Amino acid sequence: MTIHPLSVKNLTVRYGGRAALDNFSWDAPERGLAAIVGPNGAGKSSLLKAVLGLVPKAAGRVEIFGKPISEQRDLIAYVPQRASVDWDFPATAGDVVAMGLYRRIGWLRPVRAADHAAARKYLDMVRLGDFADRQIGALSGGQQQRVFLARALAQQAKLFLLDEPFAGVDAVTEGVMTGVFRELRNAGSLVVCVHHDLSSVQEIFDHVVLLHREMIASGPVGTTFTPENISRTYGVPLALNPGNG
Amino acid sequence: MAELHPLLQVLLLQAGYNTIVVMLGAAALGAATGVVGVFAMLRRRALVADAVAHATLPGVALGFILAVALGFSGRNLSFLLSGAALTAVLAALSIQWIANRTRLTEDTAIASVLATFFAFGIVLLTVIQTLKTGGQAGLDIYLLGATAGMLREEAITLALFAIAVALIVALLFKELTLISFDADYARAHGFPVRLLDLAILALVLVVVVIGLRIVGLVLIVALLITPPAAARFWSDHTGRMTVVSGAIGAFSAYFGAAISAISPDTPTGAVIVLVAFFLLLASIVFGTARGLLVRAIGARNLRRAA
Repeated sequence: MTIHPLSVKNLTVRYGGRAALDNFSWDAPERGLAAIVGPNGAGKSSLLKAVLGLVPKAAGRVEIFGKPISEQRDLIAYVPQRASVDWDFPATAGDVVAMGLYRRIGWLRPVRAADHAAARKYLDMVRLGDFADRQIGALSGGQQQRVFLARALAQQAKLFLLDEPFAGVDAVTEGVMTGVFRELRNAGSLVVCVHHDLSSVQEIFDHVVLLHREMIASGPVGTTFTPENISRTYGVPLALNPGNG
Repeated sequence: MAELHPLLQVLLLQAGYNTIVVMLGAAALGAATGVVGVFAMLRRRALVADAVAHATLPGVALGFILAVALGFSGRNLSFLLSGAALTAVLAALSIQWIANRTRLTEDTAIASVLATFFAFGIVLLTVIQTLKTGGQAGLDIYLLGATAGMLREEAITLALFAIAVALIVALLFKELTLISFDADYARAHGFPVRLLDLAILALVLVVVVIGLRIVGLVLIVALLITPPAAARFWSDHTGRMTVVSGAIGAFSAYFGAAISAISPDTPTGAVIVLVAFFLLLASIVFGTARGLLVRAIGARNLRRAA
């Protein structure tokens, strides 16, 4: 039996009385690049947040490499939506990337010069090496997204969970991120992205989850990302199907 | 040798030993509020801090009543500050309960708890005025602070607490920075965000309580928030900003205590807060990280380069 990096069983998430995610199950592939796709309010972010324990699960179970997440925190790296933090915060790009090292540095110990040097190395990987001392608010949106990615790389995780990493970024950033993701895949990691742009799914990802409050379909992009499945997910009747308007 | 101006004499520590100890105690307090204030500001706890400060008033009054009932002096600092801490904690819990368990928003909870506790304190103060006991007159200093009549031992105790607070912030520095910047990320990676938030609240509570005697409960929030607000103009880095904030807090409290030493009738807290405010104004204009001057120069250079 294979141990999945991420295994979700019968997960339900409720806000108030409304189910944001209903009885969702998914065994993620061992490695590769997976997109979670679905319309606004389909529960994509809720799925990530429930997996990470940021919102309570009304029902269901989540396992990371076969164990509860509380035992596997060192194996995961989470990249929140860029808009979820205040970029006016007094920190440089290097400071933020160094946050990815905090768990390894440990309690009561300061961030040392060696840690800043390490952070710089991860900034180099997203081609921001020269921006280490730049205040994060002085970076472009795409550069901020790359700082977040560098922070996740610093954690040396095996499972990466990213919430809308491609939202509103420039072409350079998109290229850099896609390159980094492929290197992670080649190194045996699994990268899971909540993704909104249907036109780039085939180009970037090799697995896809189609989600609309419940699982619609999941599998390799080639066989799963079909017009039928997409229309079932988005609730738009296809032109091929004129009878069902 | 020419006579120095009395303020200068006091500032240069040429006043009596007791005054010097009180001024250094005030400086330690200012440093502690400046350091804790950075996280109160970045984690957006300024209003909670203000509510908690106002909520110490009924505690001070109850402490007075209890001390007198047990035969101690009504001005016994241990009684007053224990009472202050108790009602402050009650206020913090009330805010949390209202915000979590009802549909009222947090700012509504904060405003109503602040007003209610403060009102209760004012009523208790009025009751105390009718008691046939001495020392009531001393209680109003907890509203606006004073250094007059402060004992050496009191100042030293406050300073030790202030140093302990600064030490705790230093030890938890990177975790406090992390939850202030990105709490979801911290939670996702197993950091105890709730506990760290509680630590910030506890540190705020301690500096508020030890600040009551010198700054007073009405204005102590200004000594928490003005120094970090000013420091933000001098640095884009949380660590350096915290050091600058501590220094601004220490200087404001030291200077304010000195002024109140030469004119004992001025409320010390008000003077300290005004000094801090002038430092904030200066920082807004001259701050090297984001002051108006460097911004104007930066904008002009950009135009020239274009």
